[in-house]
Amino acid sequence: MDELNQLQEIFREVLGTDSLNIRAETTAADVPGWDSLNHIMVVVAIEKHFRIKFLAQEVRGWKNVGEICEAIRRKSAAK
Amino acid sequence: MITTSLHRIRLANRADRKGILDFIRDYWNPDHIYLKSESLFDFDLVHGDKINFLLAFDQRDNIDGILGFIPYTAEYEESDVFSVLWMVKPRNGDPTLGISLLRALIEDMGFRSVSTVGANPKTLPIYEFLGYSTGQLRHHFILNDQLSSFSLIQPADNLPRAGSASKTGSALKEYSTYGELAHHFDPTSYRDRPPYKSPWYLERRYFRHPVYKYMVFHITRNGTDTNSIIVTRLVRKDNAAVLRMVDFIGEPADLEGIALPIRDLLRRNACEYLDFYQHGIANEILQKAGFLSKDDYPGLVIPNHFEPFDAKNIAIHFFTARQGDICLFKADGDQDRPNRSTW
Repeated sequence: MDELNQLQEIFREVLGTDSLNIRAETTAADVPGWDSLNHIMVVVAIEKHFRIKFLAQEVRGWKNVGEICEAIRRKSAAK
Repeated sequence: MITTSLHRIRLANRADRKGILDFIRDYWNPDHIYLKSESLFDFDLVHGDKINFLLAFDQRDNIDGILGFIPYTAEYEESDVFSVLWMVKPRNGDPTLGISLLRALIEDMGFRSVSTVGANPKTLPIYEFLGYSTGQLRHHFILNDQLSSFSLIQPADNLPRAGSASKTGSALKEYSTYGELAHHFDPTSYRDRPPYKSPWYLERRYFRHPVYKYMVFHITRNGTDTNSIIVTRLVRKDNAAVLRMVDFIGEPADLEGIALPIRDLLRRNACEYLDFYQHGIANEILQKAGFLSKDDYPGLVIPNHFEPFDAKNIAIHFFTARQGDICLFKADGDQDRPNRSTW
């Protein structure tokens, strides 16, 4: 499963919506409930799932889901 | 001014007053006390030509997020502040806008420390992810040992009537003006101990509050001044009354033995008990003071909300960006703020 599909599972679990479908272009404005708290919950779940760690400033610049996937790829490659 | 890809964040000024109140109405609570009493809003948050809020504006100049704060000195620089009213508009496009507001308050305003008392427990993971400390105030109490029945604290059966207060010759002297108190108490000696509550803050907060009447007591020992005060507020419910101890400024050791004069105070004011939420004072000192800890009595209910009255235990959570020790009390931030306009 690629990062996007795995990230979709994480979003569905954090937001409690099994029907959520995300794409690389998806932004917070497209997803009800994607607020500061759930953003952090998603980050914490990503860290646990992919066994990577983000700095606080790194999680503030993502404009869409694609940028999160890219950050996951970069972090995973640097492990 | 701070800019993100979608927003710019800046300190509010008087021209933003209506926009802030509209935001509170639309996104927080249409029955919020600040909408019913704008004079209370002004007292708590207007600061000269500024308003103590950071505001996030979208590209059309609409407010997308607010974060209020209460400074403890007249000058912002190096002030210890408590944040209040943290809210962003849902689906504003930036899921980290709330975090950007918080980081701006902590990192860009020149404050010495930023904390919150009364944090929404749902927000605690945000603070923790950002590396800040979180916790819960502990709840203590002293009963009126001359009463045989209680109506506000429950269940009261089997409670010890008194803790084991040390006999220290402690007494409480009430002062009704800051000027009189200042002859006996010097808060500036605590300047290096955050949160530092300046004379400016203490006089406004406890002697000039537009709604609440606080009783400020200076602690003496065997007739000698200490440099410590406690702040209390009498709260009535029907025919019963309680004292809330909402602040303490001083040397914690000066609290030892204080239950004895507090019990006198409870008897004189026909109060059932005094309660005290705090973080940072050692248990050993509180025991020597004569306080009992609510945590030691499972099932005991000591209400926190009286406007309206709610016979429930309430956990008060906090966060602090300060690295190191800090003492926090119920009156820090906006936890001891009127919640209804029928005064």
